[in-house]
Amino acid sequence: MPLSAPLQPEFLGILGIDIFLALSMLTCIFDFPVLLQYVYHISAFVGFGQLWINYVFAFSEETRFLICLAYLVIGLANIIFINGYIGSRDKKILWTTALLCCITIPSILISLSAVSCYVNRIAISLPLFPLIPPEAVMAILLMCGGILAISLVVSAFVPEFHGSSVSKKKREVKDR
Amino acid sequence: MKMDNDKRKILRLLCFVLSGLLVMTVSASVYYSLSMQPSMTISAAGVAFKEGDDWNSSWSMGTNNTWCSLSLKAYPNATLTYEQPLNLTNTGDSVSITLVAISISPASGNAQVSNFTFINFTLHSDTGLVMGYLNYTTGGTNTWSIDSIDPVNMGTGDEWYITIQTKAAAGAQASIVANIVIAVDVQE
Repeated sequence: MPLSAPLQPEFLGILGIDIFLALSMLTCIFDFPVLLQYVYHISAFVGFGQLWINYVFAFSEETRFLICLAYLVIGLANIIFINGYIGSRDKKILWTTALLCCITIPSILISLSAVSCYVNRIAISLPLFPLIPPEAVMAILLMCGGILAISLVVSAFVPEFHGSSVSKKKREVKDR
Repeated sequence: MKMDNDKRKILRLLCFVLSGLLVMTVSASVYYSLSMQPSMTISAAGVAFKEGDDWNSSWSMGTNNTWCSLSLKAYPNATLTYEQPLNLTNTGDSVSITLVAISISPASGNAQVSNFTFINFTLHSDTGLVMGYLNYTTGGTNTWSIDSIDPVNMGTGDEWYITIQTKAAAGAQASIVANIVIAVDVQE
């Protein structure tokens, strides 16, 4: 049975996390600089760390709302920037329009409705999830950071080994 | 070289997807856990007692003005009125309040009860209107009859006062003591 509860400010932060994750994948697909891809991905982690900071420092609700709103607005601004940059760089109207309709506009609309729901204290039904003790958030954050570090190492080195040994041998075989 | 870059890109994308899925799932669960945590904030009581104009220095006002103890007298066959011994203030939101009887001794059935005629607590607004009352009457019997009215609304910043009237029976014995505990029931 879903529970109805008014939104917490952290809901905006979670939307921001999702936006930054989407940005990291978009920039990877559209061949943006690798550094930018990781900056967006780490920004998502920063948003997740923010959940923990809000819990530990127990800021007032107004402060938490302002922090989460700022994070969300930065994420939305980056989505708009990436959309515009792809449009101006690649000059492909189809891609630009598709991004605009599938990602940029829905993100903005969902964010606006979430802010509106929070400000007007509208209760939203939440499905039942297993409860995670807040004390475990830091440990989970470190675990996610570890996974990101492993992914960095894997994506940086594995293709190089694979490409240098196997593909060259295949090429040599074809040449013969 | 192009193939290497593509593989690297696909692998990186796969890492982003997996890592992103983990972060999304965990952050949603953490949000859910945080929002389901019960929270309780301690704050001062909105409705509190305050010493009135006729407050006696021998009476005691409790911590945070949430309780007070008054020693009152009653004269045989004469009504004694304490005009404004105690005030009631509301510094919080608008609430409904009423005077509620908690306990009295000697209790009904005790022969000492008939020494009293009445002990009345009346709640007045700042303009003097009667907003509530709690009356203990005996009618000369050994039984207390308690009478009160429904809750009334007390607005933010209001300061009301309580009037107390006592009367003992004409042939009442001296040194008979009645201990009365009453409360202000506040409904937010």
